[in-house]
Formats: sequence, C-alpha cells, structure tokens
Amino acid sequence: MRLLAAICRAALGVAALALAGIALVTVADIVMGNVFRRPIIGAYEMVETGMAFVVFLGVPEIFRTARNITVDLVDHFLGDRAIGAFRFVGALASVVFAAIMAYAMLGPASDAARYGDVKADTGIPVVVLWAPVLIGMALAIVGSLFRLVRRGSEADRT
Amino acid sequence: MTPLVIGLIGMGALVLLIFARVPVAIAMGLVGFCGYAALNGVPKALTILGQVPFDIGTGYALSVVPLFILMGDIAMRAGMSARLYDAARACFAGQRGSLALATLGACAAFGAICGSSLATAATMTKVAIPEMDRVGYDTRLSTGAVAAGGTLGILIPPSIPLVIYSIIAEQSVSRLFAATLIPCFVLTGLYMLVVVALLIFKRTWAPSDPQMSVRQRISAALSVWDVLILFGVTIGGIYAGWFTPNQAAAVGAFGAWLLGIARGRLTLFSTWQALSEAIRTSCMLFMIVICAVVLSYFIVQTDMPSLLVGLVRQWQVSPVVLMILIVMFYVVMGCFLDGFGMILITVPIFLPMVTQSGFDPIWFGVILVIVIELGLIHPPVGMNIFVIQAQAPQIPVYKIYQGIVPFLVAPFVLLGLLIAFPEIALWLPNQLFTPR
Repeated sequence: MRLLAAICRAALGVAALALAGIALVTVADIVMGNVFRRPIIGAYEMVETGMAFVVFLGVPEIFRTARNITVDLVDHFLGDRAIGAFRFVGALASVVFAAIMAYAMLGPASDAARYGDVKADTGIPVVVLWAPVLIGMALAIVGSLFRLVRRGSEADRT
Repeated sequence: MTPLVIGLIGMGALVLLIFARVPVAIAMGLVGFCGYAALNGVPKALTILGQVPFDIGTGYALSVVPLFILMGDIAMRAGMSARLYDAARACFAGQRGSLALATLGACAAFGAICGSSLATAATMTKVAIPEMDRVGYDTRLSTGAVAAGGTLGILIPPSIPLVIYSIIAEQSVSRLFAATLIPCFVLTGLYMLVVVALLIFKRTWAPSDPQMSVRQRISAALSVWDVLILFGVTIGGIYAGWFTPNQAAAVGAFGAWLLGIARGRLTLFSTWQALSEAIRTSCMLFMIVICAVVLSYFIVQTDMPSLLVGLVRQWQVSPVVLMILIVMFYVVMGCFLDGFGMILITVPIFLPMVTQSGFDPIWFGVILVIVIELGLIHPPVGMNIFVIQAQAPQIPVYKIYQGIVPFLVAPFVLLGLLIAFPEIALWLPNQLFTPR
C-alpha cells in the first residue's frame, strides 16, 4: 500500500512539473512573440502534450484518496453499517468505471501507435500523449481497488 | 423501449447513484456509458468512452482551468489575502461593522485573483474570523459575512465554473468574464447593504471600529499593489485583447509566483504545495467534465432537450416564468448537488430551451453561477458553511446557518434584477467585444 501511495504521489509530482512547464511555455511564447516577434513554434502542441500529463497523472491520486466529489446527504439518516455499504458501492463503481474507461482507451491508443500519428508542428508522436493517459488510468484502477479493499473508509469529500 | 424512456431511466439511475454515495463523476460516466450503449450498442459506447477523455484531457482550451487554479493557490500561499483584508479594513475604518464590510470587500478582491469560492472562504476564515472574534463581533455576523463573501470568488473573473460552462455551452470565456463583472459589483454592494441593515436591528452584533488616519489608509491601500497588478494584467489583459484566457491564466500563475517570490512570501516548498494542490483540484474537475460530456452524449440521443423545448412551447410558458421556474429548480438542486455537477448535468438539457425562449446564453451563464453561489451557502449542503466550520470548529454549524440567512436575500435580489434588466450582464461584453 505504501508503494502504491508513493507511485501515485510520484505521478502527481510529474503532473505538477508538467503544469509548471505549461505555464512557462505559454509565458515564453507570449514574450518571444511580442518582444522578439518570434513566437515558439509548436507552443500550442506542447501545452496539449503537457495537459495529458497534468490531467491523467493526477487522476490516480484522486482515485486512491477518494477525492472525487461525493454527496453524503444519506450519512445524516443512516447508521454506520449502511454508510459502509454505500461506500463499498461507491468504491466498486469507481473500479468498474475506471476499468471500462481504460479498456475503451486501448483501441485509440494502439491505433495512434500503429499508424505513427504525429503532431503537425513539433512532430511529437501522438502515442506520447497516450502514455500518461494509459499509465494514469492503470494506476487509477489500482488506486480505486485499494479503496475497495479498504471499503472507502476515510477521506471522502462532499 | 423508446430513447425517451431509456433517458428517464438513466436520469433516475443517476440520482440514485449520486445519493448512494457514488462519486458524482463516476455516476455520470457510468450512466452516460450504459445509456449510450443501450441506445447505440456497446462498441459505439466504448468508442465514445475511449476518445472523449483523451480529447478533453489534451485540449488546449482547457489548460485555462489548471492555470487559473494554480494562480489562486499561489496567491493564497503568498499572503495576498491578508493584505487585501487590511486594505479593505482601512477603507471602512470608523464605521460600525467595518470588519464585516472589509471581509466582503476583501473576498471580492481575492476572488478576482482566485476563481474559487471554497478557496476564498477558506482563506478569509483564517484571516477575518479571528480578528472579528477578537474585537467582539457576533459569530453569526462574522461567519455569515465570510460564507457570503466567499461566494464572490466564483462570480468575479476568473471564475472556474464559468470556464466549465463556456466549454459545455460553447461560449466565449472572455465574454462570460466580462458579463459577470457588473453583477459582481452589484452583489458585493448588496451583501454590504445586508450588513448595514442587520446592524440597524442588531447593534450589539458589531462594535464600532476606531478611525484610521489618512496616512494609515493610504499605506494599507498601497500594500496591495501586487494584487492590483495581477488582476489588471490578467483579467484586464483579456478585456483589452492582449491575451487569450489561456495566456492570461499562464501569465497570472507566473506573475503570482514572481510577486510572491519578490515579496519573500513563497519558497520552493510552498510553490510545490501550490502546484500539487492545483493538480488535485484540476484532476477532480476534469474527471467531472469528462464524465459529464459522456453523459451529455447520452442525453442528446434521448431527445430529452427537444422534448422539454416542445413542452415549453405547448404550455406557452412565458420566458420570464420559464426562467423563474429554472431558477427555482436550481435552488432546490443546490440543496443536494455540487455546483459543477449541476452545471454539467443540466446545461445540455436546459440550454436549448433557454436559447429557444430568446435568452442570451452568456446571460444564462451569469444566472447559473449566481444560483450555484446560492447552493454554496444555503442549507443543507452549503459547502462554504462546511469550509468555515472545518477551519473554525469552535463555532457551531447552527450559528453559521443563522448568520447566513440574512445574506441569502442578496443573490435573490440580484437574480430578480438580472431577469428584469439583462443588460446588467450583457452591457459590458457588448461594449468590449463585437455585439452578437
């Protein structure tokens, strides 16, 4: 479990670096374009690539720590056992959905690899964008399985 | 089964799942996927579920969301909120209830660089409530002012819910940001009027505050130069056409960091904390957006939006009555649902009906954010109330509820004004950008 937490936090760290990178590339593009009349070619695509890392490498930590928004209105009316059962349902639904989503993504990701799609300006292979997506989703499944085993005991947010 | 019946079953399942503590995003995604599969087959549903998250997660336009969130996180950690509070306090010094008025002013100003109600309420709870407690304010007034003021965070640009709305409704972020500016000033003024009116009847709730010298006032006002620069460059830059919203968000995040470093308020560690927290918040939002888009694919296929439009035509409901009904619906939904969930679930259904009735989608976006604000402070959910309680656990929740009740009048008055005079929202975007 500690290993999973460490991996999810490391993925979050990479996402954080990617976010800093997006901010820097965009600011550099503005400065280069306005001051030197030489905007960064492919800045737009670099941001798109960075976004894949920002969004999908942060997802595992969200699933692992159950940071997805949950409405806990029933908690005021039900006992601990019933709430525990609902938490189990929530964690199970998260595992199922993450697994279906990851499975659905395999097709387009393998197409991108097979046909060698690349970004127009930078030549970045599209499969590079799919890598964090698939890694993130795989970790999200493991993270939500962890919640399922723990029966979603703590850290739920409303 | 007809698509409509499948749609209604889907909506019922969605409500059940949400109340059964299934995360809102997951509930929307599952219902969207299963519903779409029921209508068009599993292979097509898998295609949607495989491609939509990738398209949204790698979309350039959506980079504005994590960047504005980052800007707010950095501004919070750089201590800008405390200086804003001091400056606002100097403005109102000498008046009874000046600290409550200052709280509202500081919330509006902090919202201008933050974009999140919860962050605004959380920050101001730490900054304002201890000070109001110290000088003897009634906790109902202090917590009411912070909870209400916190809602200004999502109305004044940059507003994250408005960015999300712009994506779902395919509207210009710049126009939406311009449309909320005047309503935000009006709402801040209305909240301040509530404080003044309250203190006419409950004089003991706030002691009179000592006067400040002109020199002290000027000094406090000058101390927020960095916030003024940040807001002027980012949001002013969008209005002036210097930046796209994405560029403004990047400049804002970078600028907030530079100013924090220059002031000696940010370290590498706090920068890292801000980045990590921005990622957590953004990913949570992206999951909701992705799943809501999957759900909207299903909703569109069920013909529910066109059925609603047909019903409205058949019943010959006047546009104003329709809008009042929609507002009432959102107020009730706000008792149970999170604001983002409400936007994402309902906009694909309501927007066609609203535009068909002759309303401007930009104006509707403003209305939507105000009703979401209401949901943040009215019982039983009221996230801002929980944020305050979490940070000031010594204050009982019922006291916060009592404090917030008078402030609920203000957003309702603003909604009435906006329905009666849509130009309050539409005048500025029509002045700044080419009228549509």
